[in-house]
Amino acid sequence: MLDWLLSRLGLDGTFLEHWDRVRVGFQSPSALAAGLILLAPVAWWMARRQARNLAVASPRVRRTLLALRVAVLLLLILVLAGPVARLDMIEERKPLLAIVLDHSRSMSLPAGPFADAAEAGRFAAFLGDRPVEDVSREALALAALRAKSGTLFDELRRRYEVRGFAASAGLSAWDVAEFPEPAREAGDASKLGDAIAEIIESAGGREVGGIVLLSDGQVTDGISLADASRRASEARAPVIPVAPGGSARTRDVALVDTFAPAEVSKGDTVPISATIESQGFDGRAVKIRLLEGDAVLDIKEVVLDAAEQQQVELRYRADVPGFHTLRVEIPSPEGEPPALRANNADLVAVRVSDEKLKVLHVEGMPRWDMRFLKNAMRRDHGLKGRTGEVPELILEAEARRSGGLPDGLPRDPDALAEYHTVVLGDASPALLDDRFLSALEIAVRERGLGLIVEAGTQHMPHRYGPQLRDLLPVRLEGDLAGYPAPAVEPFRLELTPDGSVHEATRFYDDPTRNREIWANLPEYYWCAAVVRAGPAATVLVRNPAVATDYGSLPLIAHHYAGKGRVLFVGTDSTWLWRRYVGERFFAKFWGQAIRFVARREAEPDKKGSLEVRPLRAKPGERVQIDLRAFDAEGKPLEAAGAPIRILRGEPPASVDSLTAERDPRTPGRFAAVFSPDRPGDYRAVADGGKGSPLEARFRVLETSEELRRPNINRNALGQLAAATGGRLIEPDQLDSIAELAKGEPRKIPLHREATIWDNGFVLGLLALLYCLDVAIRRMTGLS
Amino acid sequence: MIPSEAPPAAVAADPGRRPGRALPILAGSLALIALAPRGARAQEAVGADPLTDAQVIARVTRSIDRGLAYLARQQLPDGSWHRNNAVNSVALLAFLGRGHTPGRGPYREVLARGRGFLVRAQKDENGYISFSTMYEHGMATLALAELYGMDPDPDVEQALRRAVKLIVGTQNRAGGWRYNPAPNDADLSVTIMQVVALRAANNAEIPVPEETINKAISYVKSCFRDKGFAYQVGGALTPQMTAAGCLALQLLGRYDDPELSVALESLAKYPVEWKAGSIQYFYYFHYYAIQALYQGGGRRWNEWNPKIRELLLEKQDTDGSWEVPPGTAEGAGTVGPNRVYWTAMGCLVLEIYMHFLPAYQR
Repeated sequence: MLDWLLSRLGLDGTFLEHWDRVRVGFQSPSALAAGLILLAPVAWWMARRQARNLAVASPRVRRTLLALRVAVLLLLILVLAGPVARLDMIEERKPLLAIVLDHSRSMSLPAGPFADAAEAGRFAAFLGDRPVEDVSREALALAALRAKSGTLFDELRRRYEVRGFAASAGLSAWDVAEFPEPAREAGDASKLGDAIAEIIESAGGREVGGIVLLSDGQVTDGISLADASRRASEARAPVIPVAPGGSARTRDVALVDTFAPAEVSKGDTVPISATIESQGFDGRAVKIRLLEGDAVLDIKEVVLDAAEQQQVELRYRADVPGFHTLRVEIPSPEGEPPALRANNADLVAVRVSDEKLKVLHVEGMPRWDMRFLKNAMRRDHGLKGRTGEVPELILEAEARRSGGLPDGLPRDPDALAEYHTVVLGDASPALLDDRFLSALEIAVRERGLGLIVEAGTQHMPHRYGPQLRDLLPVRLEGDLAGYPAPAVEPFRLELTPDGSVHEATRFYDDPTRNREIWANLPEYYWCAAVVRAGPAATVLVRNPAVATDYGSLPLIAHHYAGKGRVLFVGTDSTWLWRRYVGERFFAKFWGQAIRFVARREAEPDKKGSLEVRPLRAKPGERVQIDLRAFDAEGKPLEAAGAPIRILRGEPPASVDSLTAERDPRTPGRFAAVFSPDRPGDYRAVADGGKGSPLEARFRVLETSEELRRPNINRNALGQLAAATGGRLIEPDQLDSIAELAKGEPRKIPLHREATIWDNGFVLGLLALLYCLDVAIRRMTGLS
Repeated sequence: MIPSEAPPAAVAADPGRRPGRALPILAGSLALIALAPRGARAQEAVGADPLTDAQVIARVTRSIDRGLAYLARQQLPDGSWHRNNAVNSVALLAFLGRGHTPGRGPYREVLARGRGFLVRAQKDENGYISFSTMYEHGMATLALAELYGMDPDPDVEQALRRAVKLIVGTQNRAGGWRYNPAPNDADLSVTIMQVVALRAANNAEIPVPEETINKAISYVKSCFRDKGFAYQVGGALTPQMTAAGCLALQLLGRYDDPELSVALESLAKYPVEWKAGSIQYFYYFHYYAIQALYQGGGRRWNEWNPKIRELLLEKQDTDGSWEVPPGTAEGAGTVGPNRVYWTAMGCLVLEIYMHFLPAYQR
């Protein structure tokens, strides 16, 4: 009853819980004192008036009426004084400790093999009768947790608020009182990075004492572990990974990476790189094959070595223009577990083009980006100059030496519009004068010339006026010559969601892999002073270290300027992307960027193309189908839709028919989405015009990425732990969580105050007193 | 012509000259390699995770950074490291090869002082940047060429153009260069340094006459014999000159010359070891060998690069510097025992994994 009454007065559970410590006071004690002092003479005055005006009423009625009026006045005085309930106490706040169980498909793989009997024996201690060889990673993790549920977790709960989560494609709550097997089926994806980020975010600023991650460390989707570790580190939350299995590696041969240039020219012979990891087959020679359909295009022999990843370059001769899906495969050696054969093959896509884009490259000084880009463009047989067979380069430094401006720089729109793409480096306004800029603006806006502007410390673009700046997809901070990074804290790159699937910044089809690669590209020390992206611009890459009023700094962005596309590169250090891999990412970015912005032109003989992304999908995943179709005269097809058939298996059987919808912005382009429901080799078939069928292949694999690297990724888990102040531990070392987790319950002085007059109860009391007064007067005939 | 003073041993004490005991030592080395265990990396790898690309990058980067920190500590107040501009230049190149460029990052002051010393060291009368031989000049020209474009200082451009002009003007009739800045004699060791410098300058769009390039190609090819390259025409082939000759042909654009594939095959057979054996000039040899094998690519590169990488990582001292293998020729000479030179060269060999120096792009 008391609780009900107090809650009606507006006091919440905290007051009720600590009722013995609650004190009542007034916000304005002086108003109370003054009111009470005045009340006595006012009551005396009212009594005198009633005695005179209500002489016919009995003294009892007059006293009652007086009492009611005094009560009303008293109530009003109390309300004016502002009565409050006050609670002063010490609250204990515990840090959060998250126990995260990786519930993805790869956790159902065996916990073994083990390095030796001693290691297996350590785990057998808490497995009971079950032979350790037969236990899955998840079962081992659960058994280890259950073995400690009484002792360790009682202690942890004393210090922390312990919450459980099961993580796979999403994060769900998990009961850590009993450590049951998670109710949901194991997931087809591992988004461990997302799980860590979500836990930190949901803590809402509250201290996270630790994140215990029982996982094999395989991440197939979402935020990379590198990104997640940065977020955990910023939140000062140590991640304590628990490796649920032996330290020995599974006997397996895996194709862990394949890489191909995105676009090559007809007649080129290009390398298709394959990275192989193996274990247990040292000295065994295997033949890596490159196939298109059933045709074997190249074979390279490799002698397997477990010590280090091995790189193989297969050769692909690009003879037929179009979109080609190539398959790289390693025959499964005898002794490889059948469950792990899915990682012996991979698909790569190569677009073979017979077009040659005309490119002009203008630069101020021979900075390193120019020196590498110059050669990358010369090697790219899909690029040429307006007159020569290699892209034209105009270097201001050489022109200056000869005492004038270079002859080759076109200064009228017609000449500029002969190019498909112009790349402007750190050239000065003396070279890129008003006449050139006027011509450039017309060529871009009206003729569709593609433009790439790469920023530089000397001139670009801070020394230019609105004529050039208005063409750019970013807005700049006055004439500031860029932002230098602190010597000990260089900048890094962060791919945006748009950038992770954009054709200019796509190193891999898989957005997760792409984000991971970008996040791990080398740090750099300078970027242009960009304030924000322009209206309708798309930001592909950001510099998260520089915050402007509009968010983190846009580093690479593009937009349409009239008919032309303009891409801005806000750093002069793309040469750093060559670290360890040489041309791989540097040349791919620039090749894709030059082609992305390039002027489009009507090509009567152009053939259609059909592309499918991703080439490797999981059941239920959305597969994007992109068709470019032309009619018999070579003009872009103008139909409202284009039929696409989906075939599966060998011989191919039709499984679905789709209608690709026309893209209103790009004539001749049609797009469709297909969600495969089961694994298999698929083909999308369409009519590309002129009666020629187009075909693109893709593969749907059950948990393909989950099993690509079947071993526990101790390196990734170790790095995650090291970056966040945690430590990688084994299942029999769970006791060390108590030492590794940080933070203790904190005593926080808590002062709370709640008004107790502003509620229905007081209002009701006031109304009741007034009604009584009126009723008595009516009943006694006084009014 | 015999030079009046002995060349600096650490850089150029005729690394092409064949050591008298080469064959027995080579045989002994091969026998030891056959019997030796696979080394620490292989031992660690039993049942362990394979070394991934990211781990290789991390290990190499850590090692180079320790080496550069050592070099930075050794720099003299005037910006030099030694009274030999080849040493000063390889030290500068070691910083550049790690991606440290002028005006940026933790070594901006080191680079600025080093650049300043080289520019000031250039002789007004002829553009010569050397206290002794053309070795120094070639290496200094290479360092300036790599700085040019990344350093807005106009003095760098000026100094580089004059240095290139001197190299072009001192090529002898056969197409090579020798110790003195005069077109008289030639050897492959001095020639390769000028070739690398010209290649770097040309890559920076500084014009180099085609005739100079053609004559250089002709001279390098004339030093080929049997399965490798000799120090001078008609001399005995040596591992150092085989490495240098391969790289020279590659940088001169002669990737398809038959001499190159033969020489690369023989180069890849030399042992990678930390002792006096067939390789008397350890750093000189490996500086050129790893570049040449990288340029060649394929199986030879895949087999070679982990061996030298692991050897250097294993032999780095705790202070970040490198010693020289005992008994080898780079421990003495006019630049004397010189940890700066050894450390800078060790860094440059490992920096092959960075692919940052434009002069060495494939």
